[in-house]
Amino acid sequence: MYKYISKRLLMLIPILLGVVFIVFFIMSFTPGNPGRIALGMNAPQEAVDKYNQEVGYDRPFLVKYADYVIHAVTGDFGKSYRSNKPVFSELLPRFPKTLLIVTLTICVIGLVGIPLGILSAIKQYSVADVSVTVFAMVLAAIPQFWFALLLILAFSLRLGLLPSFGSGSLAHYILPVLAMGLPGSAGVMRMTRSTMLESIREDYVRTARAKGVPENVVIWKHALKNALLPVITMMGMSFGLSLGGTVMIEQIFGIQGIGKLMILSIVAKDQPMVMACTVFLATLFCLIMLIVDLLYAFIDPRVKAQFVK
Amino acid sequence: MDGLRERSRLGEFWRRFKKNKPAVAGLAVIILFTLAAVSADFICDYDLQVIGQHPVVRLQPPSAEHWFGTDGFGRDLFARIVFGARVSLSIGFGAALISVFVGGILGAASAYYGGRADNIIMRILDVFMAIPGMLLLLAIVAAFGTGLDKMMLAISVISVPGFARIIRSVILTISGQEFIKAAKACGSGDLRIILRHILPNAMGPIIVNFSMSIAGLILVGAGLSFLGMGIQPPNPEWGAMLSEAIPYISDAPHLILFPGFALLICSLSMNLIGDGMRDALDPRLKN
Repeated sequence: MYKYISKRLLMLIPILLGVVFIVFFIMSFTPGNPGRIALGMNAPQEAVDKYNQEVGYDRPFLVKYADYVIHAVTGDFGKSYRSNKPVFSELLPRFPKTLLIVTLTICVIGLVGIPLGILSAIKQYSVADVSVTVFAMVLAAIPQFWFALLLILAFSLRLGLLPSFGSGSLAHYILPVLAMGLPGSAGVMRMTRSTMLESIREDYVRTARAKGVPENVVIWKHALKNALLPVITMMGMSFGLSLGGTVMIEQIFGIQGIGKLMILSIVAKDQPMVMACTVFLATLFCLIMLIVDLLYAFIDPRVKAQFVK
Repeated sequence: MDGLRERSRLGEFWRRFKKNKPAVAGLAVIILFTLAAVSADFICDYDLQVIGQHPVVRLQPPSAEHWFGTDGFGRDLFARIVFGARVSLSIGFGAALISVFVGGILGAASAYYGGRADNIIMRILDVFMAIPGMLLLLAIVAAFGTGLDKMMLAISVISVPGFARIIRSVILTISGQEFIKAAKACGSGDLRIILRHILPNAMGPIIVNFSMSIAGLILVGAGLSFLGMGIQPPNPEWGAMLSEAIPYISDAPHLILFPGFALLICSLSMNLIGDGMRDALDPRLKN
């Protein structure tokens, strides 16, 4: 098992190198040069050239890439063109807010998606099943940012129940999390329903029923345990989607997280900051997917058996 | 004889699709949206109603004259939504077409050549999939700028890896089957096998995935414009219209409701069509 974990961790290295390469390559097409951006439109050309030389903007692409990677390994991701401070000194303080939104979103996705999916599977073709299916259909089609605006309209402006801007208290997070979590739960709902329907028809479920196991235990223990595996992968994917979605949600609700920083940096053409945000969140996503895979091996003895040998 | 068989296969597909009422409704809605998009110039006047500003009639609620009301610049919301359909549908279909084409080539090459080529292509796609889509999209837009064509390409970049994977697995499944071995044993060449045996059998799942992806791509495009990184004002785009409407959210909620419903109905219909096509193509996959 440890061997498997370390192997998977090692496999992260080429992926992350690749991620940095792709983002670096894309960002190298950004128009304008760092000196101009950092020093402003009115700065003399000599100062701009000097700045560009200092940050090594004139070197060939691959040299710059290798340089970036070498520095990144030692924890130096460059300085923001905008504030001239190391990028992580601005990025890390914002991380807790983004992490809170994304974690709560995943909780909502699981707590809404899985129970409703189970309900609609064990009561197939009932009114509940049809309602859940229609509900999931609409949620899957609803644009998150529009849903966020509707929630603000209803709960902040009309009912005055919840705040719609800022991140002062936990109440500030309710609407953003619902705005991402409810549309996000549609996929999990449908997935849970279909895997649950499959596992209910398995032989071992029939055996359990035949030997007189109470229906509750059959559903919760025998059927659900096997049905949840693909759902867990889907939750991991939802994590990645939420990391992207948080950019929009933070913008709408005025939360000072990494997403908002990213938009700010794109508008300011602050290349090192955009790089850092993207690489940071992509790394986080890779780690989450790794944990999902390990969970898989942990939960499913069949998967585990492949790696124990 | 050949043509007849092909037609009856299509006929069978259509017969099953027709039975699925929600899917037919979705198709009707999309046809309506497409007609509106194509004939937008006949329905309303672009210069006068869509980008022309009329401060006298700003922020009017829906009325007989302005079906969906007017926005903060006194522009007719209905006209803007009709023209917005053009943008959203072209982004959805355009990006899906590009991704199915590029993804198809990558996936097919990967599946067909196998071995090292397969490994290289798939590892590169893994890297793309490791970056959350919206972030990659923003990075691309930050570097290359905004505009309809660039947006379409950028959105394709994030959806190609998914397509390539699906198409690779579809082709792998098919090429492992016995009739392919039989064709090989009969001495058919690679090209003949690909064109006559693999492609026709792979078309179904590819088309289904194509139609199922469009809704998501439309929403991604709208989201990008909403963030101000896609279609730029004053051009009408549903996502951009929503972000322009935020300052008026309490005074003129119709500005939030109509473009959003247009997006919702459009993506819901595309999803219904996708589901209907999947069920019609392979009834066993239902549920």
